[in-house]
Amino acid sequence: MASTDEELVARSRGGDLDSFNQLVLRWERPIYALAYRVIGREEDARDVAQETFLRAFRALSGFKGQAKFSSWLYRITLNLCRDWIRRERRAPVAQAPEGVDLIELASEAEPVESIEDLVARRELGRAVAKAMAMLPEEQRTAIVLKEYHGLTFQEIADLLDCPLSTVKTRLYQGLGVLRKQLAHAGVESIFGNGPTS
Amino acid sequence: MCDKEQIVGYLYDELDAAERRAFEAHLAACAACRSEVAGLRRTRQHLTTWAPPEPEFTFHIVRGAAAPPPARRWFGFVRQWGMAAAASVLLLAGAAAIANVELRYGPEGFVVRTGWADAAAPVSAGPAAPTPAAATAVSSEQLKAVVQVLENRLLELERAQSTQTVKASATMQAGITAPELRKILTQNEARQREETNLQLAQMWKDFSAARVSDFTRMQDVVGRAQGVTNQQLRQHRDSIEQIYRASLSQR
Repeated sequence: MASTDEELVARSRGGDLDSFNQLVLRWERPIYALAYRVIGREEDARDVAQETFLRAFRALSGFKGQAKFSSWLYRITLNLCRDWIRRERRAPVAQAPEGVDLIELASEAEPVESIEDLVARRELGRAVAKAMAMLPEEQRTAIVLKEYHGLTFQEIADLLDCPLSTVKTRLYQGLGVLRKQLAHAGVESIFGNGPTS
Repeated sequence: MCDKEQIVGYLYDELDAAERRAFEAHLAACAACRSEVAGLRRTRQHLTTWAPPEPEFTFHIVRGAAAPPPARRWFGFVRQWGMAAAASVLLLAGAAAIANVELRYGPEGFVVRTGWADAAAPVSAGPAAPTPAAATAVSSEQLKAVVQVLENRLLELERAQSTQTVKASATMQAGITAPELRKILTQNEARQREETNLQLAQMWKDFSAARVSDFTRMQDVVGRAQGVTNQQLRQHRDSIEQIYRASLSQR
């Protein structure tokens, strides 16, 4: 049976590096995905993920378990993302490859998904990435934590140090902006979901 | 529009049972809220299509004992120690735990190495890594030996830095963080730009000097040619005058 994060953290603090490795393996992808969705750049997201684990490793002795290990990692990641945004003084840029390689796409396709569907999904993904990049950082972060990491309103509020009602407002406003942006980009008509407003 | 917090709570299924029942009753009667909920649900569905690119890394923390071949790890290690040594020889007593952390990026992914469990770290030339208590008992000979080791490592570091440009592509596998590598590359680019600008300036200077020189030479040649031509013209004119005078006298 797999150890819990708390057990692995306790063993890591005792000097068991294999336990920390297990934590890293368990969380590297979510942390990278969080960084990528907040700052929108693959290479920088990798750097942020790397730095997150290095900082966590160095600060492990100071982690007393008041919060979940994952929340602690998220907090480090978001702080690094914030630093990145401040340092770069720019909004995140949604990365979208220019060319679409049909062979590559075909190899990724689910057995029931046609290449046309896959291309359409990719197109929609790009439109979403663009729309997300236009959101203010606070709304984007709240949506990323909710939609892609499944945090509760309360967990997001704790992580972002803001009231619960602020989290809900950011989510509501952010979703509203995304809805308009996607409609503006013609997503609704392209994908045949009918009018959104 | 009705209570936005209720809409968000309903959308993300974070209403308790009573709140949910009440909101569903409200939805049955409120077309605006029904439309809003349906639209935001569609937006949430669209969000699922955005996936980050697949990362090409794995992170690992490894002990010193499981170190890869020295040729691949010395750079990062010496780099850290070289900087520490430049700061102070006093690092011997306590800095090992901090400085002896190495982060590498290679085919096996990111590797963080720690000196926590590695008492025989290369810098400790003595029989064992000095504890604070032991450090106070280090003899002057031992201290000299350690300083010598540090000096050697600094020399290695200088040599490494002098070949940094050539090794830039290899450093990703030789124990250096991606931000550090980017910094090095940026510095190299800046240096190359500066060198290129200097070379261009020098080329322009040389070109200008050559142009002035060529122009002067051309003026010389043209002047000389003009001198020759003028002299010939004068000679022709003189000859014609002589012929003319001679013909007049014969008449």
